[in-house]
Amino acid sequence: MIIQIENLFKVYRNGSIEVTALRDVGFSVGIGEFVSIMGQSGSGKSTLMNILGCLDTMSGGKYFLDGEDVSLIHGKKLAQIRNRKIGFVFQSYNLLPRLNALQNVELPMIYAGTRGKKRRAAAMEALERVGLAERVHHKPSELSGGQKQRVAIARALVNSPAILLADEPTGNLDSRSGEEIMSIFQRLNREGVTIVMVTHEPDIANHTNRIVAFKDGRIISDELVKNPVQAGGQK
Amino acid sequence: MNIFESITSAAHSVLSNRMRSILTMLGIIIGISAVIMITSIGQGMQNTMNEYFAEFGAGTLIVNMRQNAANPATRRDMLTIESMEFLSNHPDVSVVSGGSWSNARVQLRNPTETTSLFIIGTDENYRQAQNVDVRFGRFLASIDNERAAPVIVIDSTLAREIFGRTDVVGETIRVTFWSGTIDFNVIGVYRNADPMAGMFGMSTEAYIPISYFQRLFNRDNVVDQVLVIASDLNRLDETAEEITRLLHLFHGNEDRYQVTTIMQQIDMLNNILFMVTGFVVLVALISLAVGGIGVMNIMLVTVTERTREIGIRKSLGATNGNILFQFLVEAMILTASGGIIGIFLGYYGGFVLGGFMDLTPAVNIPTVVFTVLASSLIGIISGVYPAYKAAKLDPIVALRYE
Ligand SMILES: Nc1ncnc2c1ncn2[C@@H]1O[C@H](COP(=O)(O)OP(=O)(O)OP(=O)(O)O)[C@@H](O)[C@H]1O
Ligand SMILES: [Mg+2]
Repeated sequence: MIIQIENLFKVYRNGSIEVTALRDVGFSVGIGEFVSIMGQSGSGKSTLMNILGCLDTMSGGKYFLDGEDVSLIHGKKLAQIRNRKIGFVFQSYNLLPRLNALQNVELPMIYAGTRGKKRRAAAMEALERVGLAERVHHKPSELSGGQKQRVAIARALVNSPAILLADEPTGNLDSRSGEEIMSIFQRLNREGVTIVMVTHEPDIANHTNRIVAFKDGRIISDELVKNPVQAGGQK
Repeated sequence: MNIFESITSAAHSVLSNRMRSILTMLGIIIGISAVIMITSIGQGMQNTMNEYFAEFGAGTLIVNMRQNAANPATRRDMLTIESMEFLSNHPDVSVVSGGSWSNARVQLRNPTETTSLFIIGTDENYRQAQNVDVRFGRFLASIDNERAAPVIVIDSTLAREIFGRTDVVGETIRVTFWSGTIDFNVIGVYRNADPMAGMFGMSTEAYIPISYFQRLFNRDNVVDQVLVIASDLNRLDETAEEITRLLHLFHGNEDRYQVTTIMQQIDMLNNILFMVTGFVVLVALISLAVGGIGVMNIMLVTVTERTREIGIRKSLGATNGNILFQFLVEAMILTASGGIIGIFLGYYGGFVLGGFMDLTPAVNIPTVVFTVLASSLIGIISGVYPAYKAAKLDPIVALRYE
């Protein structure tokens, strides 16, 4: 298992108001899986992803990532886990506007301590994997939404993480660009990358191998997809 | 993440916001350049002054009479030509001179215009005691005093002011005292080497025979000040004591005369200069501190503006230390570049200002080192808090920041 969570709770406190975003969630993801998480707005999907990505803390329960109990890890060690084990793709890309595509992809390797030529070569290779080899010197403002998301995917992949987490990666894209992203994800998954992805759209979810549905902070269904749709078009 | 990468990345971010960076640095630039400029001018002044006094004669002792309301001086206490003669017989003494002075006005080329003049009545030895640099004609001689002749030695600046040239030996100038107006025959022109001459509105000095001065003011044989050149430079303090003792013996009084060495006078002047420079530097340092606050303010704004960037970097694996270092380096680059620009501006500003004041500024290395250290220190101090604020941001909170 890459991800194993048990009795996970997340409670947000704003003064006297408490919102329970996740209640007693149990869930695991094995190596090589491609899982999509669905649910209405406010059902706790992003909350779960942020906890899986070690960006947010949990209020209760257990989370094992690649065999390690994440709730016991803090500070520098936790930063290292974000850096080495997790690749996160956001709905809003989250690229640094002042850096070009190549430099954005190099960022995780800078924090990993990879230097010079090796770093550059690895960043180039990651951009090639998402089909952006000709756009490496463009700034994010000079790229389309789909291209930006592909840079973000390259950045998430570059340190060979144990898991790729994507929170509505196609949420800001038109259906064609969305299809392209799914095609990349499917290829990466075939190459052995484990992916957990949040989406609102059943069409997108049907490209994955397993759909986990949330409602009011709980899992209401967890089913395999019999015949995943194969995304076409992408080389 | 290594240091070189942090520095290039920080430099990149400073350069991408050029106008703001320059405005931020302005306080530091002004502070540092002011410190460099003021200290180099101050040091330059001190150098010229010390050179001047060294030339003037380290072996010169200055004898003054002390008097105050509680202890008024009597006729018997006054220093006179006789006291000077008495001192000149002592083996520790090589030359004795003395003088009295008065303010006067001298008529310029245009007969209705005058300028102020400081008249010193003295003798031929004064030239050696004060190292007067005679350029044309001659200095006072003993014969001038014997005859009590109305002759005068003026400085070249005054010569040019009156006659439009410096070689004016043989010309006549008209000097007005409170006791009357007299025409003096110019016998010599000297070059004024005093760096302070002309500054602070001080008038130039002109020398006339002491005997003529005494007759002019009905001063009998009294002199205001006696100058002594000691024969042994290594025994200055002893000689000063001996002279004090002898004078009290000669005049039959006590606790009336004060003998100071030129060295003591230099020290006094240096102290004053040091205090003035120190005060102005203090003001400049305050502006430097204000500049540091400016840097801190901008860094705080920067951190807020870049909250999302901080969240992104943390989501990619940046540690708190990485973020802290990034913003600290940025603050230090701002202050360090401000410091470097300030050093250059201060250095050249010193020469421009020195040019107006007719002196060579001396930039001393310790001051430059000090200002470099000060600006880096300001960088650290003003950068630490904003950087710390950035570093301890929660990744998810920073990522959600709009
Ligand atoms: N920082 C927060 N403080 C308080 N409540 C929060 C916070 N973040 C999320 N919530 C609440 O937690 C619940 C789950 O939010 P979450 O963002 O996980 O939903 P979601 O499933 O991702 O929705 P969407 O599909 O709209 O993105 C919601 O009720 C939300 O209001
Ligand atoms: Mg969401």
